[in-house]
This record gives sequence, structure tokens and C-alpha cells, in this order.
Amino acid sequence: MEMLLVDDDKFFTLMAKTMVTKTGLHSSPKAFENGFVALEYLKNNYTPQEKYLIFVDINMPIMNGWEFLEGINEVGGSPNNIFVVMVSSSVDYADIQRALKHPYVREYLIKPLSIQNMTDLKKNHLLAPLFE
Amino acid sequence: MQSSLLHYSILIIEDNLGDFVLIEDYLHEFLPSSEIYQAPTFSKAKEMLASKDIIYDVILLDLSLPDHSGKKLIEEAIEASGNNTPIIILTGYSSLDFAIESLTIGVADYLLKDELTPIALRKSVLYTIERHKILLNLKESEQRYADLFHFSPQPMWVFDVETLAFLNVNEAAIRHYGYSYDEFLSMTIKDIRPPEDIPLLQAVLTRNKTTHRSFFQAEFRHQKKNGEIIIVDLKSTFIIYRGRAAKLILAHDITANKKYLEEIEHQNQKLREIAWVQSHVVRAPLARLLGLTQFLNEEDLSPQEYKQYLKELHNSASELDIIVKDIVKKTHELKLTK
Repeated sequence: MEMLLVDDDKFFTLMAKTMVTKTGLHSSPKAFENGFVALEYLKNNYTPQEKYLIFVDINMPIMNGWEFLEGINEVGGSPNNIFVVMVSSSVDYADIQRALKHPYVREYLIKPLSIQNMTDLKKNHLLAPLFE
Repeated sequence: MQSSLLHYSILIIEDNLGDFVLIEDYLHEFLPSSEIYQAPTFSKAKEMLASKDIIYDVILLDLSLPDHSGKKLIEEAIEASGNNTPIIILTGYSSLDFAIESLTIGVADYLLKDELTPIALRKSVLYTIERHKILLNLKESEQRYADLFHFSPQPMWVFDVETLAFLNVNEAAIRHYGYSYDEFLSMTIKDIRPPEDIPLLQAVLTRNKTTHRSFFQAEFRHQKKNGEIIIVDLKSTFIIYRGRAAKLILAHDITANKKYLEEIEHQNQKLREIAWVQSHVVRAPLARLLGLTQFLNEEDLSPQEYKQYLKELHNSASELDIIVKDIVKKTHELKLTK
């Protein structure tokens, strides 16, 4: 399983990395500072046998989280092996609804992330294929 | 028509008793249930008409009365009847030409005494009364439409499709635009447009001419006499007015509504911006602050890490401070006074 952290806030990705590794969700997540570079990475390195867990922020420069979701079909994978978790500071119900409607999005987490969030993700049945 | 059932009030102005009795007889033949009144002189007739006790359906007027005769008699009889009761003239051969001429003054019909028959009288009386009724209805209907136009609370006018001249304007238009009736009638519809909108008007007129749409509605800018520019919702329909191809216009001033809507939309936009800012901009450093305090609680932090976290903590707090000040400023701009 590959894990991507897409957020322009470097300090956030640093903290997220720490929590992800500490809870054993993933041992080496890769950080990207906006949707564009993350999409480029996926397009160039996608392998059908691999599974992907992607944390995506909404509000980012260059390419935000919504635009990232619009482009994710071009990667070549499907919701069967690409699992997106939106991670945003937005508590706006409209944002949450919009995110969860997207076929790739399995969960919406409100910042700040906590250790509890990570352990919950491991138990989330929508993400179960990742940990098989 | 079952004339025997008709109940009319008929005034016969006739000094010759023999003639009167003859006419009365004839009338009773086909109008048995009608009331017939006689006035032997014009002054008596005037009196009877002025009393208004009886509303006469028709007046039979002998052209040579002891106290009056001729054209003057007709004119005064018409006046005495309030121009509201049809008059049939009774005359001899001697004044036949004049009787024919009298039709132009407003007399309904004329009858030659020497040739008077029940049938001729019947035809003339019934025809005159019916025609008068129809004319009255027509007048009332015209008046009703004129009232609808003139007393409409919304500005209305009629303009000539060719010359664009105003052909008629109503009270509301005069009040709303500030021009008098006469001023309006000396103007064209171009004169109530801001000069810069004339090309637009011309384009619309040309387009409507080619599409031949009978009904049209759109928003335009108009200019009042005092220079004030208003936004109006115009409805127009094609009519023939006094023989001219014309458009009837109904103008609804929506300036206030428009402004109100714009204000509300502007406020909504600002509120949406604030909601977005709260969710994405304010909560971003706040979330970081919350996350940082979690980390600062960890016991295995190196002095460098600790120092870095404290610096981040300060940065996030400063960012939050700037954002809050920005929101206060934006809210101030909103002037949520209403």
C-alpha cells in the first residue's frame, strides 16, 4: 500500500506523518504540497496492483482538493484501489457533503488530526481492502 | 321583435292635436304598453325634459312649433334632452331638404308627416331606440377602456410604430415621468431614454419589426424629466390606434426592487465569503494550534523539536490574529444595520 499526504501546510504533513507512522497506519507516507504535484506523481507511478491511501486537503494553492478529485479519474485506477480521505479544517456541512458524494472519497476528517483518527481509520470498513 | 311587450316612454312635441292623435294611434298599434306624452310647445317640452321625472326613450319633434322652429329648434331640443335621447323629426314637404340636413346635427331620423304610415313610424321608432342603445353600450365600453388606460396605477402609453411619437399617455405616466400630457404628445419614445441607450432602443425596435411579435416584454432604462434614470419592466402589445399602427406600453418601475435585490445579493455574497473564511481560513491556523498543543504534550521531544513547535505555535497564533482582524473589517463593510 502506498500513502500520499496532500497538503500545502508543511507543518501539518509533518505532524500527520508522525501520527501515521506511530499508529502503524503506514510506515512511509509521501508528502505533496498541492493537488497538482500529487496527481502528477500518481499518473507517472501508478501501478494497477498497488493500493493507494490519499489524505487530501481542500484549500490549497495551484490545485485544490476539489480539482484534485476532478482529475483523479485520469490516474488510471478506480475506487477499488484508490482510497481518498479528505482532511480539512473546514467544518462547513456543505464541504463535508460534497466530499462524501465523490466515489473515491471514503472519509472526511476535520483538522487537527488525532491519534484516535488514525486508529479509527484502521477499523473503518470502507477502508478495509487497504489492510487486507 | 315582439314590440307589443316593449315598454317605452315617448315624448311627442307637436302643437297640432290632430297630428298628435294620429301618431299616438299609430304608436299604440305596435307599442300598446308604452307611455306616450305630449308637449304642445317647445317651452313645455323643455320643462318636461328638465324635470327628469320620466326618462324618454325617444322624442318625436315637429319642426314647426308655435314658439320655435327650424335648425335652432333642433339644436335646443338636443340640448334640452341632455344629448342623451334620440330625436326623430316630423316635417312636411316644405322643409324636406332641411330635415335631411338635420341628420348631420345629430337627429336620428326624419319622417314626412304627409306620408306617415304605421309601418314607417314603427320602423323608425324601434330602429332609432335600438340603435341608440347600441351606441350607448359602445360609448360605455369605450369609456371603460379609456378609464382602464387613464386610471391605471401603472404608467401606460401608446406610441406610433412609424414615427415613435407618443399618441396617448395616462395619468400615472404623467405623474411618474414628470412630463405634462402636452409635453408627452410632442415627444417620441426616444426622449425618455438615456441618450446612450438609443442604439439599444433602435436595435430592439428593428428586431421586433422583423419578428412581428405581438407581445413583448423586457427591461429597459428610462429617463425622467428631472434626469433621474429608472429601470422599467416594459410590456408592449401591438394595437391599431386611431387608424395608426401603434404599440400599447405598460411600464413597471422596478428600480427599487432591483436595488433591493442587488443589496441582498451583495449581502449574501459577503455572508458566503465569511462562512468560507471561517471554515477554511480561520479554522486552518486554529486546527494547527490544536494539533501543536497535542504534540507539545508528548514527552519525547528533543529541544530542537520543542523550539520548532513553539515557533509554529506563535506563527499560527499570529496568522489567526490577522485573519480575525480581516473578518472584523469585512463585517464592518457589510453594515448589517437593517
